[in-house]
Amino acid sequence: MVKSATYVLVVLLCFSCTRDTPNRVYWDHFLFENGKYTGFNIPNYELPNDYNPKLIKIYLSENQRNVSIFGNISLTDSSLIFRTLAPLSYGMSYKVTYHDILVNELKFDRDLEPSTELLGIYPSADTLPENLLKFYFHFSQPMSQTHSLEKLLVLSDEDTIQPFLDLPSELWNLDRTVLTLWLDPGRIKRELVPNRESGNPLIKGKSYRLIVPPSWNDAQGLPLIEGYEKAFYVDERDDELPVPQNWKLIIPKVNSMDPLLIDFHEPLDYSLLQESFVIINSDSTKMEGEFELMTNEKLLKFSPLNNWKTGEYNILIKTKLEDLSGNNLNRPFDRDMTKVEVTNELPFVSLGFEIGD
Amino acid sequence: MKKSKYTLFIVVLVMAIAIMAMTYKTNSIKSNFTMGTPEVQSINALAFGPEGILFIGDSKSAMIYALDTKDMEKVSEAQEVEVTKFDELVATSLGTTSDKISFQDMVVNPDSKKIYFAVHTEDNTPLLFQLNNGEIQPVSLEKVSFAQTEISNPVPEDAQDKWGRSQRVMTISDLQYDDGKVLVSGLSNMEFGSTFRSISFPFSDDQEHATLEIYHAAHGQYETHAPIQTFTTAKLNGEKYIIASYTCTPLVLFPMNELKSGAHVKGRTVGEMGNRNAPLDMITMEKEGESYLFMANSNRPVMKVKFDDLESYKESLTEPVSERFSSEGVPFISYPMTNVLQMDKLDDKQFVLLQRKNNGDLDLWTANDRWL
Repeated sequence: MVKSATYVLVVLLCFSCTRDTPNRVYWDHFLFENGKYTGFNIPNYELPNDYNPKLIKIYLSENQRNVSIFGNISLTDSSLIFRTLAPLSYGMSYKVTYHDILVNELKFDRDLEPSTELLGIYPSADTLPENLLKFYFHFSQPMSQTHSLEKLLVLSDEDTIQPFLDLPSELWNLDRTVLTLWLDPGRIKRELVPNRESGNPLIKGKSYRLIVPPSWNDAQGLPLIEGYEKAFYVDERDDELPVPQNWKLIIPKVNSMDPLLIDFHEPLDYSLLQESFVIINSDSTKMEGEFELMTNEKLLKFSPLNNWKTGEYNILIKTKLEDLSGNNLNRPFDRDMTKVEVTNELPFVSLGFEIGD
Repeated sequence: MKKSKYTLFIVVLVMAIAIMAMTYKTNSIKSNFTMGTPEVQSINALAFGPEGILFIGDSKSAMIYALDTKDMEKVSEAQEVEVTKFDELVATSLGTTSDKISFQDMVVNPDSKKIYFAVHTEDNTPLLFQLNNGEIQPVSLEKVSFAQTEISNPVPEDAQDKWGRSQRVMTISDLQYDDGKVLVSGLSNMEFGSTFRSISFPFSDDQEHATLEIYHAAHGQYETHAPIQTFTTAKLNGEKYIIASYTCTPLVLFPMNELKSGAHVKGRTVGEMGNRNAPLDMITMEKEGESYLFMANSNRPVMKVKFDDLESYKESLTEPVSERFSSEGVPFISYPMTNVLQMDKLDDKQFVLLQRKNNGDLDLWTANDRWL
């Protein structure tokens, strides 16, 4: 009995899997393709015999405008497929009509579990300079790019503040998992009107809380698994350039795969650190290995794939590498032209070290 | 004899038509367009060129697409437009709510006077629409005639390519077409630097990508390296200029003849338009022989600047603004129009605005020449 029931179940499952193209799965009335709900699947038995597909219209149930939803209709043997221009929105109800008569009302409330989390906010240190330039928000999956700034809350003591630059175009990485938010640079740059009138967005000696509520939706329209909070204290302004010659190197032993450690003595920019270093060996070839950020972006660890050999090595560093205040290896974020001369505009600088016997 | 003359006439006629067709083809700015489906991944900025060509700035794929809209019927006067809760109309037509869409750009086809606009949905799907007699219609990007060019990084930082793939993304902040050039301003997700490109059109393989480092010296002392948020082109005193506004709201002029590949161009700050504000859009309009610049702002009203004043202002702002919330430089008039998110010239007498009204509605409406 159990065996025959299993057999029936397997047959049913196979039947549902083999309908239409293999990568398309129908779930009730909703069409799921390439990881998105892309429209509706209306079975023929819900429609009149010999229906005219052009008279099928789909509306939002709560619709003040009486405008139907844009989409393309195609037919299969058993159903009408209505692909909407934009993927379906979670929680919405839709009315399917034929010749202005209601055929079905469908609520898109699949039992979907939130699966995206905020992995971290960088800089990760809890003491930050007064002229901090940017925060990076790292998510585990692609996020929605609409109205991000409205999702965040920044508290100074118990007051809500808005320190970020409100840009019409949001700054995301290519896979939409990292958002960059600038602390209003007009207010950081000395002597610019916004700085003179409003002062720095963050004030030295104050504590802040950056609160990300779970209601920030991912690209699927689902909330985050949980909210996130970063507390930080604001310390002195930093107008000094990072100077590689002042960094401390912990040099590995010869014939080992020990890591090379570079201690910056200060946190540097999380994203720029990821792509600013190359290690060159005495044959002038690039060392293969992995970089890892440690100690709140104050320390870079390079683990080689092969043993270190005796010889001279060079660390090539992109001069676009910045500290937390936007000062790069060539120039400070706001250059006082009467005091600071820019002498080096090279794209990278080199820091040498030697591994002896 | 008569028959052979007739045959000769036909042969000559066919050859003449063939030569005309070939000449037309080689002379056409669409001669390198191909039929197909451009893989547009985002629509961050729009700009119309000649002959119904719509330029689409796509930050995600780092491409500029030139789309032949075939919308070339010349109309001299546009119909007035008024749609209240425009965002609700668009969202409802997409089966969603207005908080789940974002308007990316809005432009008017200078020939047909039809309004085009781009929207991103919650899952970041880019969509292009046209407004026709008050009704929105999707503009399909499937099986269209188009050309494309990559916004490549023109200055390789290290020829040996030691550095690996960068995570830098240039998000296009504005796009304009001017006399055979597609001009693109951008913001980086990593550096608060300026990125400005001038790309020759029609696109070709060996095209010139002029990359400019643009600075403006604020108050003589602190050099500011900042991205351009919005810009337009204009002729002032017989010279072509880029009028740009930055994320820190100064108004800056750059002579276009200085925009050469790899150039480090320093602009002249002619106006400080006020603080706590980001410029959003810029257009030029004419009335009774006078030209005006209109600028929409995030936290300030729409501002009008006379070209006459821009032309006669010869100085560069070197002193900090003296009074709180005041402005310096070229005089301007603040309009009773706040929270204008998008703006474009509709015809010679009207401009169209997408405005968040005081009641919270996002309305699309036309300002007629009384506003000029």
